[in-house]
Amino acid sequence: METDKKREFKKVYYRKVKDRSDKMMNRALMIYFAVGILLGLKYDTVDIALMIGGSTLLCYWFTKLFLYDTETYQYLTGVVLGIFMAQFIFQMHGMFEMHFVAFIGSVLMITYQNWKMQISLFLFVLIHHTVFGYLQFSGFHDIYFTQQDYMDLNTFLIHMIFATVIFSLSAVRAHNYRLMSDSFINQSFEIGRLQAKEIENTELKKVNEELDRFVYSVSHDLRAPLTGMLGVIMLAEKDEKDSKNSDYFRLLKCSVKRLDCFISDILDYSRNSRLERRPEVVDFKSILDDVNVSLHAMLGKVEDVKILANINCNHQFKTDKTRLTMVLSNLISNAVRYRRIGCEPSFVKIDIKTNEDGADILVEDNGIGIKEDVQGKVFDMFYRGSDASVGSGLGLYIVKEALDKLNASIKLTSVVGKGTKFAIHLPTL
Amino acid sequence: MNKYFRYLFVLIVWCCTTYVVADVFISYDIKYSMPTPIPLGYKYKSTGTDVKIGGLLSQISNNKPIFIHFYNPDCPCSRFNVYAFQRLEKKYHDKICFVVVVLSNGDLDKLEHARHVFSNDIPVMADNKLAAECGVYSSPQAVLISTDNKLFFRGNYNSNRYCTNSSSFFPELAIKSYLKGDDQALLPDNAYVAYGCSIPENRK
Repeated sequence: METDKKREFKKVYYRKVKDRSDKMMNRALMIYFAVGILLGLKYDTVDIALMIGGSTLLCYWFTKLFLYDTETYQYLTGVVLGIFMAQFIFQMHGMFEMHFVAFIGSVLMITYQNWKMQISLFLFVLIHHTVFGYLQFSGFHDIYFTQQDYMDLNTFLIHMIFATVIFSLSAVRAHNYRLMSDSFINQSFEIGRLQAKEIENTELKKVNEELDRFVYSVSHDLRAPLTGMLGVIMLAEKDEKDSKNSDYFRLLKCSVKRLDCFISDILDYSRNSRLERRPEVVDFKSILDDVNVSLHAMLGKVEDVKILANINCNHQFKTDKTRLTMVLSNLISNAVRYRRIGCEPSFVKIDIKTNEDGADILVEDNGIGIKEDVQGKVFDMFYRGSDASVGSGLGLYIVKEALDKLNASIKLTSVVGKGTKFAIHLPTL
Repeated sequence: MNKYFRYLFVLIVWCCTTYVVADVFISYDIKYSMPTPIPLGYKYKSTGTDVKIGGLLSQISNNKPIFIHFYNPDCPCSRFNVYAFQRLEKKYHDKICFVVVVLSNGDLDKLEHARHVFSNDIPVMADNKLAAECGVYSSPQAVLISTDNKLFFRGNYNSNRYCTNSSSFFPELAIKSYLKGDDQALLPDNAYVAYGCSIPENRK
């Protein structure tokens, strides 16, 4: 869709084309007038040149003066050039070759980039040729149209066909110039738009990077005092004999751990967005051990959940270890967090297979499951399934973002009350 | 100014211009197709009339019929049909004596100019009386005088002002008729009705 700015630019551009063409046409018409005078000196027809050429030019300039903001005077140009052609023929007492003057006029008018201007000149030539040709060759003597002795219908038709071809070619050329101008303006605007977008993107990127740096720096700095607080709470908890105070310390420890988890998640998110991929050969067992350790640190000792790992690695697999650890850590911690308590024994099965293309990881649990209507939202930032959710709302978002960075895909299947399955396919990097 | 008034004004200008252009074309068309006005005191000379040619012309003719081209360098029609006269001279110079009479009203410069225009072999002279003697009052005009000094033909070069109509090249038709031995050339009326420029003497 054409914007107002582009429309305004086109208006100004075509006004310039019109002004330039007008100047050129003024010069051309003055030359036509001068040619008329010169022919008049030779053929003793100066008075005809002055009267016809002069009055025609005056009419043209008056029209232009009064209707400058319209295209009317442009269409008159064709008629004016036609009158000059007729004047030259008349001045030279029927010099038929002066019809070629019409073709010069046709070419001159191309500069306006308006194909319709050719119509007025074409109509003038058609009427002039038809009426005077008919009059002269039907026995009406002394019509100064042609010095030829004879001109039949065939000759007339051939003349008109050639004239039509030339006027059509000029019209096509004028129209093509118009299309080229339009295309040039559109391209210029598109380049301008892209440049503006590029500048905007660069600025956004800069702001984003600054924000990432800020988030990382703040999260990192917040964790240190939290860890300190946790240590002090644990020491105080050991020395405290009062069961009531012990409960308070436990609650305090729990809150500090939640805060620490949240900050850890933010740090993971920040790392994922900031850091480049660093592919390396992956040892799944070692990663799962690390995950287990961090899980204990995060959730304490969870005895009622069995974590079953089945690793089947026949091929060497390379990926970004940090991100893979983030993914598995989040999925397994979610499975533990949202286990079903009280029924059958809870488990988390991790099935890992590698092949030539990459690795397929299946993380399955028999937890509370995810409702079908919210399954599409669980990967959104800060989405929590319910108010009872204890996480930051960033876990699965980080999983998705990290997998995107690794060109991996993830598929979720879950049934409420039965459990959840995450199937991941990771291409080797 | 109101848009409608502007259009109205332009329309009036267009109508006026159309009127002027059409009027000029039509009036000049009529003017060019009109015969040259017959001067006051003009004495008509019919074909067969005796023509008093001077001794010089008689000497030049060497008993050949004389073809006189009345030329006025100020007349565009006269200037443009020089080639028609030259064509005739080239074709019949062994049978006919070709002479150019300059209607210059005594202007020697014009006479000199005419001598440059025509071939050196063609006698060019200024003799306004000869025009009256032949009944010529316009240019360009051609006159053919028989060996016995009688007016055989006096008329236009062509039905077309600029000699572009080859079927109406009257002087050649007259020469052919004369050489064939006809008493007179049978030519259409427009061969005799003089048109073109009045001769300078009559314009006074």
